[in-house]
Amino acid sequence: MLPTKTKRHYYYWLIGIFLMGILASANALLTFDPQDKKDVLNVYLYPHMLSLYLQSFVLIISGKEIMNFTTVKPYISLRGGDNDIGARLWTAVILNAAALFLGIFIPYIVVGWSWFTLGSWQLGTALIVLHIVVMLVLSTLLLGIYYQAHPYLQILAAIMLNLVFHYMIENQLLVKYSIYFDQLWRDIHLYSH
Amino acid sequence: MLKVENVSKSFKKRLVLQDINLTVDAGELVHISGINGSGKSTLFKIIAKLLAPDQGKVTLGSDDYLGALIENPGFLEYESGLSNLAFLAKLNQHYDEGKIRQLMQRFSLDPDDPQAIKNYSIGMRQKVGIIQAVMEDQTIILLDEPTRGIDQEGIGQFTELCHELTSSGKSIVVASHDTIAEMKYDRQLHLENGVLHE
Repeated sequence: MLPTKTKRHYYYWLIGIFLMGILASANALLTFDPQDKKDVLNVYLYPHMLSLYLQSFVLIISGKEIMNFTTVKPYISLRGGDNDIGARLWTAVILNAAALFLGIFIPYIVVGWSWFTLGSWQLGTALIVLHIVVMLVLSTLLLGIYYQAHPYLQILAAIMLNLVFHYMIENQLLVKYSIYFDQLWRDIHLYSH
Repeated sequence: MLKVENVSKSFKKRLVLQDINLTVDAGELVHISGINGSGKSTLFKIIAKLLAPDQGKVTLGSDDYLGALIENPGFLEYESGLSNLAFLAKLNQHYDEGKIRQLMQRFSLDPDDPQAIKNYSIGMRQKVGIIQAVMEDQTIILLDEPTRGIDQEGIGQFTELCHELTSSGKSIVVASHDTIAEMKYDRQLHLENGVLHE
Protein backbone atom coordinates (compact mmCIF):
# COMPACT_ATOMS: atom_id res chain seq x y z
CA MET A 1 0.00 0.00 0.00
CA LEU A 2 2.65 2.57 0.99
CA PRO A 3 4.89 3.66 -1.89
CA THR A 4 8.34 2.06 -2.12
CA LYS A 5 10.51 5.05 -1.19
CA THR A 6 8.37 5.94 1.83
CA LYS A 7 8.47 2.31 2.98
CA ARG A 8 12.23 2.15 2.44
CA HIS A 9 12.61 5.36 4.42
CA TYR A 10 10.77 3.80 7.36
CA TYR A 11 12.83 0.62 7.25
CA TYR A 12 16.08 2.62 7.23
CA TRP A 13 14.98 4.59 10.28
CA LEU A 14 13.81 1.42 12.02
CA ILE A 15 17.20 -0.21 11.50
CA GLY A 16 18.93 3.06 12.43
CA ILE A 17 17.00 3.30 15.70
CA PHE A 18 17.76 -0.34 16.53
CA LEU A 19 21.50 0.17 15.86
CA MET A 20 21.46 3.40 17.86
CA GLY A 21 19.94 1.48 20.79
CA ILE A 22 22.59 -1.27 20.48
CA LEU A 23 25.45 1.25 20.35
CA ALA A 24 24.13 3.37 23.23
CA SER A 25 23.55 0.24 25.32
CA ALA A 26 26.97 -1.22 24.50
CA ASN A 27 28.55 2.10 25.42
CA ALA A 28 26.65 2.15 28.73
CA LEU A 29 27.84 -1.38 29.54
CA LEU A 30 31.45 -0.81 28.47
CA THR A 31 31.79 2.39 30.46
CA PHE A 32 29.86 1.08 33.46
CA ASP A 33 31.67 1.95 36.71
CA PRO A 34 33.00 -1.36 38.17
CA GLN A 35 32.28 0.00 41.66
CA ASP A 36 28.62 0.47 40.77
CA LYS A 37 25.90 -2.14 41.21
CA LYS A 38 25.03 -4.29 38.22
CA ASP A 39 21.28 -3.97 37.89
CA VAL A 40 19.29 -3.34 34.73
CA LEU A 41 17.50 -0.36 36.27
CA ASN A 42 20.82 1.09 37.43
CA VAL A 43 22.23 0.76 33.92
CA TYR A 44 19.30 2.12 31.89
CA LEU A 45 16.44 3.64 33.87
CA TYR A 46 18.31 5.61 36.53
CA PRO A 47 20.74 7.36 34.11
CA HIS A 48 19.24 10.00 31.82
CA MET A 49 20.65 8.74 28.51
CA LEU A 50 17.68 6.59 27.51
CA SER A 51 14.89 8.98 28.47
CA LEU A 52 16.55 12.29 27.76
CA TYR A 53 18.40 11.59 24.51
CA LEU A 54 17.36 8.33 22.88
CA GLN A 55 13.61 8.46 23.49
CA SER A 56 13.43 12.16 22.61
CA PHE A 57 15.23 11.38 19.35
CA VAL A 58 12.86 8.50 18.54
CA LEU A 59 9.83 10.69 19.30
CA ILE A 60 11.16 13.32 16.87
CA ILE A 61 11.75 10.71 14.14
CA SER A 62 8.30 9.20 14.68
CA GLY A 63 6.74 12.67 14.57
CA LYS A 64 8.53 13.47 11.32
CA GLU A 65 7.38 10.19 9.79
CA ILE A 66 3.77 11.08 10.59
CA MET A 67 4.27 14.61 9.27
CA ASN A 68 5.15 13.16 5.84
CA PHE A 69 1.47 12.27 5.50
CA THR A 70 -0.12 15.45 6.80
CA THR A 71 0.30 17.33 3.50
CA VAL A 72 -1.46 14.61 1.52
CA LYS A 73 -4.12 14.05 4.19
CA PRO A 74 -6.95 15.93 2.38
CA TYR A 75 -6.65 13.50 -0.55
CA ILE A 76 -6.49 10.52 1.81
CA SER A 77 -9.57 11.73 3.74
CA LEU A 78 -11.43 12.27 0.49
CA ARG A 79 -10.92 8.59 -0.28
CA GLY A 80 -11.90 7.45 3.21
CA GLY A 81 -8.36 6.23 3.90
CA ASP A 82 -7.72 7.97 7.22
CA ASN A 83 -8.25 4.90 9.40
CA ASP A 84 -6.06 2.75 7.20
CA ILE A 85 -3.21 5.26 7.08
CA GLY A 86 -3.65 6.02 10.80
CA ALA A 87 -3.24 2.29 11.57
CA ARG A 88 -0.11 2.06 9.40
CA LEU A 89 1.42 5.12 11.02
CA TRP A 90 0.61 3.76 14.46
CA THR A 91 2.36 0.49 13.56
CA ALA A 92 5.37 2.46 12.30
CA VAL A 93 5.78 4.54 15.48
CA ILE A 94 5.22 1.54 17.76
CA LEU A 95 7.86 -0.39 15.81
CA ASN A 96 10.26 2.55 16.24
CA ALA A 97 9.83 2.39 20.01
CA ALA A 98 10.10 -1.41 20.00
CA ALA A 99 13.31 -1.24 17.94
CA LEU A 100 14.83 1.15 20.47
CA PHE A 101 14.05 -1.07 23.46
CA LEU A 102 15.21 -4.20 21.65
CA GLY A 103 18.47 -2.45 20.83
CA ILE A 104 18.83 -1.34 24.44
CA PHE A 105 18.11 -4.66 26.15
CA ILE A 106 19.79 -7.13 23.78
CA PRO A 107 23.37 -6.16 24.85
CA TYR A 108 22.34 -6.56 28.51
CA ILE A 109 21.09 -10.07 27.76
CA VAL A 110 24.30 -10.81 25.86
CA VAL A 111 26.62 -9.76 28.73
CA GLY A 112 24.60 -12.01 31.06
CA TRP A 113 24.47 -9.68 34.06
CA SER A 114 21.73 -10.32 36.62
CA TRP A 115 18.71 -8.15 35.98
CA PHE A 116 17.47 -7.21 39.43
CA THR A 117 20.07 -7.16 42.19
CA LEU A 118 19.00 -4.05 44.09
CA GLY A 119 15.30 -4.81 44.63
CA SER A 120 12.51 -7.26 43.98
CA TRP A 121 12.26 -8.64 40.46
CA GLN A 122 8.51 -8.05 40.50
CA LEU A 123 8.83 -4.32 41.11
CA GLY A 124 11.82 -4.10 38.78
CA THR A 125 9.90 -5.78 35.99
CA ALA A 126 6.90 -3.52 36.63
CA LEU A 127 9.14 -0.45 36.35
CA ILE A 128 10.58 -1.61 33.02
CA VAL A 129 7.10 -2.42 31.70
CA LEU A 130 5.82 0.98 32.87
CA HIS A 131 8.75 2.72 31.18
CA ILE A 132 8.03 0.93 27.90
CA VAL A 133 4.28 1.52 28.17
CA VAL A 134 4.80 5.27 28.71
CA MET A 135 6.95 5.43 25.57
CA LEU A 136 4.34 3.47 23.60
CA VAL A 137 1.56 5.77 24.84
CA LEU A 138 3.56 8.88 23.93
CA SER A 139 4.28 7.42 20.48
CA THR A 140 0.56 6.75 20.06
CA LEU A 141 -0.26 10.32 21.11
CA LEU A 142 1.95 11.52 18.26
CA LEU A 143 -0.71 10.25 15.87
CA GLY A 144 -2.54 13.47 16.77
CA ILE A 145 -0.13 15.11 14.30
CA TYR A 146 -1.96 13.35 11.47
CA TYR A 147 -5.42 14.23 12.70
CA GLN A 148 -4.86 17.75 14.05
CA ALA A 149 -2.72 20.78 13.47
CA HIS A 150 0.46 22.04 15.23
CA PRO A 151 2.78 19.07 14.62
CA TYR A 152 5.86 20.63 16.20
CA LEU A 153 3.90 21.51 19.32
CA GLN A 154 2.73 17.91 19.59
CA ILE A 155 6.26 16.54 19.24
CA LEU A 156 7.45 19.00 21.88
CA ALA A 157 4.58 18.00 24.18
CA ALA A 158 5.46 14.30 23.81
CA ILE A 159 9.12 15.00 24.64
CA MET A 160 8.15 17.13 27.66
CA LEU A 161 5.79 14.44 28.98
CA ASN A 162 8.54 11.86 28.51
CA LEU A 163 10.92 13.98 30.59
CA VAL A 164 8.31 14.77 33.23
CA PHE A 165 7.68 11.05 33.63
CA HIS A 166 11.38 10.25 33.90
CA TYR A 167 12.44 13.05 36.24
CA MET A 168 9.34 13.39 38.41
CA ILE A 169 7.66 10.00 38.49
CA GLU A 170 10.10 7.30 37.50
CA ASN A 171 12.87 8.59 39.77
CA GLN A 172 10.46 8.42 42.74
CA LEU A 173 9.38 4.91 41.79
CA LEU A 174 13.00 3.80 41.54
CA VAL A 175 13.44 4.71 45.22
CA LYS A 176 10.55 2.36 46.05
CA TYR A 177 12.47 -0.37 44.21
CA SER A 178 15.71 0.34 46.09
CA ILE A 179 17.00 2.96 48.51
CA TYR A 180 20.13 2.86 46.33
CA PHE A 181 18.37 5.34 44.00
CA ASP A 182 17.53 7.82 46.76
CA GLN A 183 19.57 10.94 46.18
CA LEU A 184 20.09 11.69 49.88
CA TRP A 185 21.14 8.08 50.55
CA ARG A 186 23.56 8.24 47.61
CA ASP A 187 25.03 11.53 48.81
CA ILE A 188 25.72 10.03 52.24
CA HIS A 189 26.85 6.53 51.26
CA LEU A 190 28.38 6.85 47.81
CA TYR A 191 29.75 10.33 47.46
CA SER A 192 30.75 11.18 51.04
CA HIS A 193 34.39 10.02 50.70
CA MET B 1 -25.87 15.21 -8.63
CA LEU B 2 -24.41 17.57 -6.04
CA LYS B 3 -26.73 19.50 -3.78
CA VAL B 4 -25.57 22.11 -1.28
CA GLU B 5 -28.36 23.37 0.97
CA ASN B 6 -28.24 26.39 3.26
CA VAL B 7 -24.57 26.00 4.09
CA SER B 8 -23.02 28.60 6.38
CA LYS B 9 -19.58 28.72 7.89
CA SER B 10 -17.78 31.15 10.16
CA PHE B 11 -14.21 31.24 11.41
CA LYS B 12 -14.30 32.82 14.84
CA LYS B 13 -16.46 35.88 14.25
CA ARG B 14 -15.84 36.12 10.51
CA LEU B 15 -18.70 34.83 8.38
CA VAL B 16 -17.15 33.15 5.35
CA LEU B 17 -20.16 31.43 3.80
CA GLN B 18 -23.71 32.59 4.26
CA ASP B 19 -26.66 30.37 3.40
CA ILE B 20 -25.11 28.84 0.28
CA ASN B 21 -27.37 26.87 -2.03
CA LEU B 22 -26.02 25.14 -5.09
CA THR B 23 -27.17 22.28 -7.27
CA VAL B 24 -24.92 20.77 -9.93
CA ASP B 25 -26.46 18.29 -12.35
CA ALA B 26 -24.72 15.50 -14.22
CA GLY B 27 -22.63 16.76 -17.11
CA GLU B 28 -22.63 20.36 -15.91
CA LEU B 29 -19.54 22.58 -15.94
CA VAL B 30 -19.88 25.31 -13.33
CA HIS B 31 -17.56 28.18 -12.55
CA ILE B 32 -17.41 29.91 -9.17
CA SER B 33 -15.42 33.11 -9.26
CA GLY B 34 -14.43 35.28 -6.35
CA ILE B 35 -11.47 37.17 -5.02
CA ASN B 36 -8.84 35.49 -2.82
CA GLY B 37 -10.33 34.74 0.57
CA SER B 38 -13.91 34.90 -0.66
CA GLY B 39 -14.63 31.39 0.66
CA LYS B 40 -14.29 29.27 -2.50
CA SER B 41 -11.83 26.86 -0.91
CA THR B 42 -13.92 26.70 2.28
CA LEU B 43 -16.98 25.77 0.23
CA PHE B 44 -15.02 23.03 -1.54
CA LYS B 45 -13.66 21.68 1.74
CA ILE B 46 -17.20 21.51 3.11
CA ILE B 47 -18.46 19.71 0.00
CA ALA B 48 -15.51 17.30 0.25
CA LYS B 49 -16.34 16.76 3.96
CA LEU B 50 -12.90 17.98 5.00
CA LEU B 51 -14.57 20.73 6.99
CA ALA B 52 -17.89 20.68 8.83
CA PRO B 53 -20.37 23.47 8.09
CA ASP B 54 -21.91 25.44 10.95
CA GLN B 55 -25.26 24.73 9.38
CA GLY B 56 -26.71 23.27 6.22
CA LYS B 57 -25.93 20.04 4.40
CA VAL B 58 -24.28 18.62 1.33
CA THR B 59 -25.79 15.69 -0.55
CA LEU B 60 -24.33 13.57 -3.33
CA GLY B 61 -26.22 11.14 -5.54
CA SER B 62 -26.07 7.51 -4.38
CA ASP B 63 -23.71 6.52 -7.22
CA ASP B 64 -21.62 9.65 -7.10
CA TYR B 65 -17.94 9.62 -6.25
CA LEU B 66 -16.26 12.88 -5.40
CA GLY B 67 -12.87 13.99 -6.68
CA ALA B 68 -11.25 17.23 -5.66
CA LEU B 69 -8.21 19.35 -6.25
CA ILE B 70 -7.75 21.28 -3.05
CA GLU B 71 -5.75 24.52 -3.09
CA ASN B 72 -1.95 23.98 -2.98
CA PRO B 73 -1.92 20.22 -3.45
CA GLY B 74 0.31 18.34 -1.00
CA PHE B 75 1.89 14.99 -1.72
CA LEU B 76 4.32 12.43 -0.35
CA GLU B 77 7.27 14.63 -1.14
CA TYR B 78 9.93 11.90 -1.55
CA GLU B 79 7.85 9.95 -4.04
CA SER B 80 7.55 10.41 -7.80
CA GLY B 81 4.37 11.69 -9.45
CA LEU B 82 3.32 8.19 -10.52
CA SER B 83 3.97 6.74 -7.04
CA ASN B 84 1.86 9.45 -5.45
CA LEU B 85 -1.03 8.86 -7.82
CA ALA B 86 -0.77 5.09 -7.42
CA PHE B 87 -0.77 5.46 -3.61
CA LEU B 88 -3.97 7.55 -3.68
CA ALA B 89 -5.75 5.33 -6.20
CA LYS B 90 -4.91 2.19 -4.23
CA LEU B 91 -6.53 3.63 -1.10
CA ASN B 92 -9.92 2.50 -2.30
CA GLN B 93 -8.92 -0.09 -4.86
CA HIS B 94 -9.41 2.16 -7.88
CA TYR B 95 -5.87 1.76 -9.18
CA ASP B 96 -5.58 1.66 -12.95
CA GLU B 97 -1.95 2.25 -13.89
CA GLY B 98 -2.70 2.44 -17.60
CA LYS B 99 -5.17 5.23 -17.07
CA ILE B 100 -2.84 7.15 -14.77
CA ARG B 101 0.02 6.86 -17.26
CA GLN B 102 -2.23 8.03 -20.07
CA LEU B 103 -3.41 11.05 -18.05
CA MET B 104 0.16 11.96 -17.11
CA GLN B 105 1.30 11.77 -20.72
CA ARG B 106 -1.68 13.84 -21.74
CA PHE B 107 -0.48 16.57 -19.37
CA SER B 108 3.11 16.25 -20.68
CA LEU B 109 4.33 14.57 -17.48
CA ASP B 110 6.66 11.59 -17.81
CA PRO B 111 5.20 8.74 -15.74
CA ASP B 112 8.62 7.07 -15.56
CA ASP B 113 10.36 10.19 -14.29
CA PRO B 114 11.87 8.98 -10.99
CA GLN B 115 12.44 12.46 -9.53
CA ALA B 116 10.70 13.20 -6.26
CA ILE B 117 7.60 15.36 -6.47
CA LYS B 118 9.24 17.89 -4.14
CA ASN B 119 11.39 18.85 -7.14
CA TYR B 120 8.36 19.42 -9.39
CA SER B 121 7.44 22.96 -10.40
CA ILE B 122 4.17 24.48 -9.15
CA GLY B 123 2.54 23.80 -12.53
CA MET B 124 3.66 20.16 -12.56
CA ARG B 125 2.33 19.63 -9.02
CA GLN B 126 -0.91 21.25 -10.09
CA LYS B 127 -1.20 18.84 -13.02
CA VAL B 128 -0.67 15.86 -10.68
CA GLY B 129 -3.36 17.40 -8.45
CA ILE B 130 -5.79 17.59 -11.36
CA ILE B 131 -5.02 14.00 -12.39
CA GLN B 132 -5.72 12.63 -8.89
CA ALA B 133 -9.10 14.37 -8.97
CA VAL B 134 -10.20 12.59 -12.14
CA MET B 135 -8.16 9.36 -12.38
CA GLU B 136 -10.67 7.15 -10.56
CA ASP B 137 -13.66 8.01 -12.74
CA GLN B 138 -14.95 10.46 -10.16
CA THR B 139 -18.40 11.67 -11.12
CA ILE B 140 -18.32 15.02 -9.32
CA ILE B 141 -15.07 16.93 -9.61
CA LEU B 142 -14.16 20.04 -7.64
CA LEU B 143 -11.18 21.98 -8.93
CA ASP B 144 -9.86 24.84 -6.83
CA GLU B 145 -7.64 27.27 -8.79
CA PRO B 146 -6.75 24.44 -11.20
CA THR B 147 -4.65 26.44 -13.65
CA ARG B 148 -2.42 28.08 -11.04
CA GLY B 149 1.14 27.89 -12.35
CA ILE B 150 0.19 25.88 -15.45
CA ASP B 151 1.59 26.94 -18.83
CA GLN B 152 -0.64 27.84 -21.80
CA GLU B 153 -0.29 24.39 -23.36
CA GLY B 154 -1.29 22.79 -20.07
CA ILE B 155 -4.32 25.07 -19.79
CA GLY B 156 -5.40 23.90 -23.25
CA GLN B 157 -4.99 20.25 -22.20
CA PHE B 158 -6.93 20.93 -19.01
CA THR B 159 -9.79 22.67 -20.87
CA GLU B 160 -10.03 19.80 -23.34
CA LEU B 161 -10.13 17.26 -20.50
CA CYS B 162 -12.90 19.17 -18.69
CA HIS B 163 -15.06 19.28 -21.82
CA GLU B 164 -14.46 15.58 -22.42
CA LEU B 165 -15.42 14.72 -18.86
CA THR B 166 -18.61 16.78 -18.90
CA SER B 167 -19.55 15.23 -22.27
CA SER B 168 -19.36 11.84 -20.59
CA GLY B 169 -21.75 12.98 -17.84
CA LYS B 170 -19.27 14.02 -15.15
CA SER B 171 -20.01 17.23 -13.21
CA ILE B 172 -17.23 19.73 -12.71
CA VAL B 173 -17.11 22.78 -10.48
CA VAL B 174 -14.14 25.08 -11.04
CA ALA B 175 -13.32 27.78 -8.51
CA SER B 176 -10.90 30.49 -9.53
CA HIS B 177 -10.34 34.17 -9.02
CA ASP B 178 -9.83 34.65 -12.77
CA THR B 179 -11.49 33.22 -15.85
CA ILE B 180 -10.08 30.68 -18.25
CA ALA B 181 -10.86 32.01 -21.71
CA GLU B 182 -11.11 28.61 -23.43
CA MET B 183 -13.60 27.16 -20.94
CA LYS B 184 -17.22 26.94 -21.98
CA TYR B 185 -19.07 26.99 -18.68
CA ASP B 186 -22.72 26.02 -18.42
CA ARG B 187 -23.12 28.36 -15.46
CA GLN B 188 -21.04 31.10 -13.91
CA LEU B 189 -21.50 32.00 -10.25
CA HIS B 190 -19.82 34.62 -8.14
CA LEU B 191 -18.96 34.34 -4.46
CA GLU B 192 -18.80 37.67 -2.69
CA ASN B 193 -18.99 38.48 1.02
CA GLY B 194 -19.98 34.89 1.70
CA VAL B 195 -22.96 35.00 -0.66
CA LEU B 196 -23.17 33.02 -3.89
CA HIS B 197 -24.66 35.04 -6.76
CA GLU B 198 -25.87 33.69 -10.11
